[in-house]
Amino acid sequence: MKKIAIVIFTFYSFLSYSTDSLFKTADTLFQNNKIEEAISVYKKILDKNLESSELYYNLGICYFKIQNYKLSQENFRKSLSINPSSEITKKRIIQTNIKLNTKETPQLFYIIWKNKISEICSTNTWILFSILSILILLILFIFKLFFKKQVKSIYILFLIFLSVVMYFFSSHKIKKDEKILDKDSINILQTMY
Amino acid sequence: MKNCILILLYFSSIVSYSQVTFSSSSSNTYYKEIDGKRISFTIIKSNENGKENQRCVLNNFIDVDCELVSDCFNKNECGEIREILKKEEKEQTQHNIKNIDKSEVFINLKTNKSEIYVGEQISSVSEIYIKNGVNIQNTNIQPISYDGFWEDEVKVNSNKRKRKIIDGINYTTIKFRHSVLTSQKSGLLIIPPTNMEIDIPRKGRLIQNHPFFGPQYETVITTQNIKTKEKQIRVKELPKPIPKNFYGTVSKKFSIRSEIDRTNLKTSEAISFKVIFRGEGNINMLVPFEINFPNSFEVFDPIITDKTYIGNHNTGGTKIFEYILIPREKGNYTIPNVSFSYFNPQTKEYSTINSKSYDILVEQGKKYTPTDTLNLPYEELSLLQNSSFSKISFRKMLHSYFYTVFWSISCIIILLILTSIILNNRKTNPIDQKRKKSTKIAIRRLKNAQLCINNNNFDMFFEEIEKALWGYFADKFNVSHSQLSKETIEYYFKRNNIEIDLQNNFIELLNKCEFARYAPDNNKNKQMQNTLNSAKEIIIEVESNLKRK
Repeated sequence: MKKIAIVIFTFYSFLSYSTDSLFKTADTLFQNNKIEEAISVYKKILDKNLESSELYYNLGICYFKIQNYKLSQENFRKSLSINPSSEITKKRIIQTNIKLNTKETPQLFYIIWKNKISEICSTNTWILFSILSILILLILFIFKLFFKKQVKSIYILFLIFLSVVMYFFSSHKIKKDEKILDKDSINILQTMY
Repeated sequence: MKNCILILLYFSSIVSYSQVTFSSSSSNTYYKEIDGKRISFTIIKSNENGKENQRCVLNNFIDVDCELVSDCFNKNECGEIREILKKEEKEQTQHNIKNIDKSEVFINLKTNKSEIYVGEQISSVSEIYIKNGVNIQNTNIQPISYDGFWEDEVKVNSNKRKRKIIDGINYTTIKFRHSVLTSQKSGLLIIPPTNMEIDIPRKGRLIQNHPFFGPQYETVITTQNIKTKEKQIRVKELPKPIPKNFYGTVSKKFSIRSEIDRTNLKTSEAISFKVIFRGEGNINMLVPFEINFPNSFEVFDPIITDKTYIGNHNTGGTKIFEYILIPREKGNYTIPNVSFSYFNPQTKEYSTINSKSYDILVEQGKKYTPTDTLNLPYEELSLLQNSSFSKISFRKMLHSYFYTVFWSISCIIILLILTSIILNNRKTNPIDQKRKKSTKIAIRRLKNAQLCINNNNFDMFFEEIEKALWGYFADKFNVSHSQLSKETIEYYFKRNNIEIDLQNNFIELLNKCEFARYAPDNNKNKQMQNTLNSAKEIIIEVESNLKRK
């Protein structure tokens, strides 16, 4: 059975280089209880410079199954940082915490709020919003100064405030992502999530 | 025991004292023959704080109604007294109190039944009998062990003592132990004999025959070892077949009741379901048993409320099991009736009692998420289907470019603001601006004069104008008030290169004000307004002239 699976896997990998089929191959390998092979396939996708929250989640599941809870948690955290609204991933992280016998360190209330707000949407959305808000601000200024259009100062103040907040959160998210996603080591920061 | 007796002695001493101090009493003993037996009556008359009391005592220990005594004596109607005597005799035989060895002190252990079923309860009372006139000092009673029984001790008031006559000898009895025993196993159970050691002081040999106090004797303490008789109790097996819902309860009277606080609720809300047992017998040994609740109900361990008491012959009371139920799914459910069987030793049959069954309507409430994250749905490891990939390099690029884009846009905005400010500054005419400032100063100076126009105060107005002009001049050219004159005006105006026309106007206005103060004009209001305007104009002009340089 193992040999057949390997043959299938190599066959698949040679036949098509499309990542979707690689993903499916990993799924079938997982179903056939070939966890190590499935992990290597997932890593192959990562080597192709591609990522997705589901990919990291599945990697986490694979590591969980072979009881490598640290790597499992790392991958779940990666998945969560791409898709912060996933409830199941949060639960998995708690699960790995129980397995690892670690506890979330208690944090100051404003850090918890900050994290909660930054998890409303993904990093890209935050970036999009912050760029948008500052662009609108720019356009408003151009209208006010060069076309002599009356713009209420309250709008400008609001937009300035909005873009500052957006910038704050998007930079926070970016830093967090860099900490979690671009890290291949086993050590994981407990403070994240 | 020693304590008891000490307390007794103490009490008796108090009683005797009280008789001396507070009351007086006298007693007479009479004898009467009933059915060939000599019966003694003692009539005690007492006088307590002026109240006369009469007590009649039969055989020196049973209180009898005094009317009965007088009836018996005068009318020879002794029927009731006979009954009392019979009752007493019966009691003595029933409890098998026979002092065989005729000792002065002995223990009697009596039980109310000698043949019981498993789980049935009997009472066991231990009493010590002390012959009248015997003092005992130290008592050492070994605890009685009840093997095969569950013992519930009844509180005993050991100060209470009774008198009993056995074979014509008066004894004082003290109850020192009273227990309710529940049999735990079948067979012949034996309450083993217990030992008791007591010290009895006795009259010893004569020490001396005192002429005044009489003969004096040595006290000799003898230690007696007393053994109680062993008691046998036959415990019978419960008859078979034993019903399904029998939990070991043996009772003469038993009832079951159930209570529920609500029957209409939403999921995840709690129901309090109470099962209340009431009756006598070994209810104190009843423990919660399984009740078939619907499967989707979460059942917590019941809270047990024990309201049982220990009676003379058995225990009894109420026991409540309160179950907290939480339905997790909506639907119609029934809490089944609780069926309970108990054995009645009187009828020697099992009887089954049932509580009410309840219908419960559960509606959908808040969704229930199990608090335990290690529950099944998450233990089931399943992979997710992929939705879309994104390039890692793109993400990194986006992240790094974000800062530059954001900051460049904000820099553009700041630049825009700066350029607009510079452009605005250029557009405005500098002379106009200076004039604006000078007007402000003039208006400030001439504020009081304006007030005077408003109030139609003609005299004050010119004074104010003059004051304002002089004040302005003094402040502007830093001239002290004592030096103020038209010559200094000329001097300073010339020094600051102010036009001569302006200088003339200034002086002319001052003169005009001086004239106007003493030569009133007809058209006051118009004159006032004109003067104010010209004063304003002059101050503005002077200011502008000064600033031009």
